[in-house]
Amino acid sequence: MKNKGLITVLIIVAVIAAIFGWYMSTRNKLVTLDEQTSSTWAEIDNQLQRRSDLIPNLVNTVKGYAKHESDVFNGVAEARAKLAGATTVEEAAEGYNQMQSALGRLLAIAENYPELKSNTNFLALQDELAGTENRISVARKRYNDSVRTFNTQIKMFPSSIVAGRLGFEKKSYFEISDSARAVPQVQF
Amino acid sequence: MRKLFFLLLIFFSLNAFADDIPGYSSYVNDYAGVITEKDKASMESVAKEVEDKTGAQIAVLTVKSMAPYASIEDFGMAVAEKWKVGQKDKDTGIIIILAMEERKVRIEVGYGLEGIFNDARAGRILDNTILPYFRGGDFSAGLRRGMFKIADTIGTEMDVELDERAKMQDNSFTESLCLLLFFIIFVSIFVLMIRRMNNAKRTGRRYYGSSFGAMYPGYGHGRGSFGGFSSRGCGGFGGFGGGGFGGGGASRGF
Repeated sequence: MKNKGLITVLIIVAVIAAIFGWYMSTRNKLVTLDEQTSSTWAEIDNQLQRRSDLIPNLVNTVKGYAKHESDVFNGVAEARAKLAGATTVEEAAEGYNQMQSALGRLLAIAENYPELKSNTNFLALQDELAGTENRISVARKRYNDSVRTFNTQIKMFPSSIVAGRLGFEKKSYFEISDSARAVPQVQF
Repeated sequence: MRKLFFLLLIFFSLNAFADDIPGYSSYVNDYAGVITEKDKASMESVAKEVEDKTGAQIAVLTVKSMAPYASIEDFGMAVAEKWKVGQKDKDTGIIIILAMEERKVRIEVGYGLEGIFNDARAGRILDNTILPYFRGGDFSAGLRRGMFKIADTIGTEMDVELDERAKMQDNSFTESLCLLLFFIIFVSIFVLMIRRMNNAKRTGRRYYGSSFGAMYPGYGHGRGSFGGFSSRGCGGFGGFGGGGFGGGGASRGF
């Protein structure tokens, strides 16, 4: 009789311990995933910043050859300001898209100025820009992958219970428009 | 048991098909078949020396086509993520990638080398060192000079003296010395054989062929024996180390 009671108590303790263990491990997993989305986002942010830093230099180089294209320069400045003011992933993506088309126009004018095209500084900036662009796309892929994993985990039962308790919400992807890359390939 | 084996075989071959990135067997992986044996050998030894002295790994990949990848940037990143060129904690890896059909060439720079090779510098190496040869149709020389330029830059920036610098000139003295040595050995064997056989010239020539193959493992054979040659001839290639890439580098069409 006494023995039976002890067993019951032990079983209850074991079940509680198991639930607690599962809860903690799920919680830790979700926190890690959440952290991962933050760190992969930081890399996008970093590269966006890096590109913004390149732009004044690029604009000045182009201005040296094509002063009167002020519309295009204004477009770039506007997009840059928008990107700098972005606080959410969606705003950043929107700013990115706008910047993309503004830069596309800027580089398109360069096509009309052969001297600009062969300017070594311009070539170097174009490489830096293309490289940064590629880094953004790599960072974007990594961020979106981490968001996908995170979103799946917090939706899936039973980890969704833990996610709900922790107040985790679905995160948004960094989505960019399918328009061609802003930087044309340097072709010989 | 046999069934299981076949199933496994099918599984692995399917896997191989699903994976569009070629594997590596050494520093230089010439799937397009554009690099001469001589250039390959000297590139291997330069890459080996750079790795021994600086820890940085330089890889070369040529493919006939990068399909199904849409851009050389995507292809380059996929290669970088699969091969993981460079040391794990330092990420000092760099890959030169050539896709013949698409006429694209790219230098993919690992995180740890971005300080030495910023995108503009990678672009300059393509423009000034590699592309002039490519335009003349000499892919082997373009890749060799490009790789040497990279090796030289790493050596200078990391303040390491590379012996192989002599080789970076167009006429490689060491190479010719090596060939001369082989030639002397070969001639002596040839002469000895003729004496020993005491036979007609025809027979001698036949032996010439087989002894040549035995002395030069890798020469005159297909791509498969190349890894073996490099590990015997250049002191060993230990595989790439797990370096990370973030998409830095530059690309060109030619």
